[in-house]
Amino acid sequence: MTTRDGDPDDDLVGSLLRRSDGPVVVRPLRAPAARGGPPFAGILAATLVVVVVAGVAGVALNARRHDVAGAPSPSGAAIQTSPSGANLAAQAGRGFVVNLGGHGIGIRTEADATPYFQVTSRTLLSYAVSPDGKLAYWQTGPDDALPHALHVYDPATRTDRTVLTLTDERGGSSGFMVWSTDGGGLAIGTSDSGSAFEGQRAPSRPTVATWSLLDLASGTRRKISTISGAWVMPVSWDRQTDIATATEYGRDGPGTPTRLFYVWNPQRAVGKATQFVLPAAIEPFTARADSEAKYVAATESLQCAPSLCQSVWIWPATDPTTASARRIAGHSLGAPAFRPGTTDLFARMAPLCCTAPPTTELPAIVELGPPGSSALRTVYTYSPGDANFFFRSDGGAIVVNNGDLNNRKGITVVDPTTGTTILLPVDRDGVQDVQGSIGPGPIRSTRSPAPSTPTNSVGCGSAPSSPAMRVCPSSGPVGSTVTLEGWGCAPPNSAADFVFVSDGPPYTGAFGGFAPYAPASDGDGHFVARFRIPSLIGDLHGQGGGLTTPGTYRLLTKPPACSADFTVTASPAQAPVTGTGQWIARTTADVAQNAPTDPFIADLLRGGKMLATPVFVPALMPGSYDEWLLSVLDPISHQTVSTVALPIFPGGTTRGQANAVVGPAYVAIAPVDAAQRASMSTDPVIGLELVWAVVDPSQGGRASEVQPFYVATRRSGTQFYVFDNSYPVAANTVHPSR
Amino acid sequence: MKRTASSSAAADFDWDELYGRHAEELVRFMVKVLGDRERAADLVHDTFVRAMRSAHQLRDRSAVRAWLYRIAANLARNELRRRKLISFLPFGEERGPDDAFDAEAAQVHQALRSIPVDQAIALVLHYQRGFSRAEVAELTGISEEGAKSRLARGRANFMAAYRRLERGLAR
Repeated sequence: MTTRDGDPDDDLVGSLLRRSDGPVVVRPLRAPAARGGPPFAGILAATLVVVVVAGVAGVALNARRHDVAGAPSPSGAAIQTSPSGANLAAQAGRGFVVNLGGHGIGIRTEADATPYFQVTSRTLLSYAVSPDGKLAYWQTGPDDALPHALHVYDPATRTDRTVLTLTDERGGSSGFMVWSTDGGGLAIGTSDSGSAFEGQRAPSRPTVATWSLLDLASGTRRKISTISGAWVMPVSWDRQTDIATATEYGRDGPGTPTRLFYVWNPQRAVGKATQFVLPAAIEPFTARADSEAKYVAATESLQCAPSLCQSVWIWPATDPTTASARRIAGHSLGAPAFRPGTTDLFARMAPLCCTAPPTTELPAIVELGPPGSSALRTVYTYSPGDANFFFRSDGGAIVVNNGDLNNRKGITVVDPTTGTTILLPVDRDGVQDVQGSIGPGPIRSTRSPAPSTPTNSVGCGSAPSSPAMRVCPSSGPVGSTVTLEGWGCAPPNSAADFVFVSDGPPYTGAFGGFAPYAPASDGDGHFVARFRIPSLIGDLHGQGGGLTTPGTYRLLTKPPACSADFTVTASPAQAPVTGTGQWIARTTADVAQNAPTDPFIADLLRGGKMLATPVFVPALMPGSYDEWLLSVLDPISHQTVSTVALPIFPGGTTRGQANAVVGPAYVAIAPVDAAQRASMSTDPVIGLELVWAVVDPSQGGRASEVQPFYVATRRSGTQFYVFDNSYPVAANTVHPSR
Repeated sequence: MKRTASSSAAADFDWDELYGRHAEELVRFMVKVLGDRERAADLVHDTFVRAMRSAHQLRDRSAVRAWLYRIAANLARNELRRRKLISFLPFGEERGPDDAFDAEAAQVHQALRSIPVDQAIALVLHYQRGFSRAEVAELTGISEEGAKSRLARGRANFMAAYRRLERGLAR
């Protein structure tokens, strides 16, 4: 055959390349605003979302999550729905700890700025407020002189008592402490009498610093560990498990960060604390644990001229080696604080200085969601300047103590959900520095003993008396949609957290669990949740996870007030394998470990790129494979450079690897936002699941294996799809059968 | 209302009219090169945005179509290099609602993506969009001899890849 180029393949190449590709999409033209056309906000906004969302996805490859919330379920990463309409006004019985400016600390009520109780010792850095609102503090002689007496002041009764007196070691200004999660004890750090944290001899590091656990009921003090060359700073103590954690201060000089973190875990190492080296140097004074001492967060400060770049590191309290960072591109993120009663993390975020062009963005307090989440929600913005924030002790409000350039202080109370604010009075001079909240803690922080057997199991039937919980149906195969209903099992107007779990006898299912979306409870603590039984469940504290095998499981509220049993009758028979090498992919840890050696993924990781934490995404449509979704991150910017979807149960084939274009990690919208988008006040969302299916943009949103979306189920049963463009679309307009 | 750009040179263009006339063919070009309709649509939109911003650089108004293709080809080249696409094999049986699976079309896309980017672009410009060798040379900034050589190498590589795929030897 003669061809134009004399090439016999010429015609064949031409006919192949001229084949129709079918219908194509042509977007409406939106001209750049700078050229006088219509606003270009759509494109610019989309670009911003990519940058911000990708920027927060900086999760180390080996980052693992170790509790039920770490199950390979996207709903495990859901931000708990915050109660709305919080009572922001000054509340009787609540107050603040006040910095008396070198003259000690005091306590004031929320309504009255005048301190009604004062401590003259220098104890500003070493006091602690219990979950039920008591203040522990040190009383010392002048200039931190011995003896040092540890006091507990109860604002409810306005009584003060001494619980420990030290005559040959120092507490005082360096007697760092933290209350146990149940409020029945104090973890304290003390140091030898020759050390000096403040005063004329300071700093003089301790030769011996002692970490002790003090039981307040019995007065028993257990010295659990000593270190030398630094002060001990207790971070958490869970008396139920007796697990305590601490960091240290001052080893390399005043104000220097530390990489050392200590765990006292009698379940792992009897009679000794274990020293861990954190992956980053943290500011020890910023280390905070959540109300149940499950997680710890702290600030890392780096000098990246001309700005101070801060990021927040988060880790399971017992496993600091798995710490992962939250970073926001172009921003500094610091001062982490868990919302009391939850594992929801909040932090202070500020744009880095000296950008060109100069930014007009204001600093803000942001919600980062629970550990492992990549969520980011601005709660409250404020003028640049000093700003200290903390939670009201019940978690119902954020208190911001900010100052202007003249150091005039204000106290702003912020609703964490709506951002609504009110102001509370400060002292007449307007310089009052409030440091912490005094008052009763959250309902959920009062933990009931973990039930070894279900306390209120009921089957499907008529509404039981409160508190109780039932699940309908009570058995079914993997993929079944179940409804969970609870009465009095969750705090009113709060996120009704619960888990699907099998944690050993008498439960016969696979060891592991997952955390479905937590719907909001009503004013009576009643809630309804709907979710699918997933094909894979996550690990429990690093153990188990994998196929949801047939057997019994329980649905357990958090805290464990109610439970109900569910029997899985059938599950996929195949081993959970994936990838080119058909490697095991039971859990997030499996995927994180095996994916980098997969030839396909290894090629993507060249040049130092790294993988974000894998996300398990079930398929929406019957017959499709569930998948693991992986984001490949640029090592410098932490932006996603590609996304890989790996099908699970591929039936022995190697097909099914997809590469996406540069874009946000997984989904640009946070679960809580997706739920809010699809909710109506009269018909709230009670179930939310991240899934994948192929959806054409003409149907309201774009979705594919590498671009999953949320299915939101309202209480009425109607379902909506929430795509990356944030707009809910009625499910039956995309898939008529739904 | 007609949309025009504000710079003096660009003000003479009726961008709505240009978009209506050329956008679809550019999207088809992009789809062939990239194998991704959505990204193709995005990049064609970007093509016009860039064109609006640099319209003052266009000396010969009659060459606007070639000029748009040149911008589009550059964007496609950058996109492919950035994506470093190794394979795109949708898994499961899910596809777009109106999107009957065309195995041969998928094979063409896969073969195109397995050959050097510049060769793929040259092939699509020449065979699918009908540009002559001289025009391909002009659009891609090389000599006509260079274009001829690129097309020849691209053709050989494409057919080798296509036949390999036919025999089931992917990649």
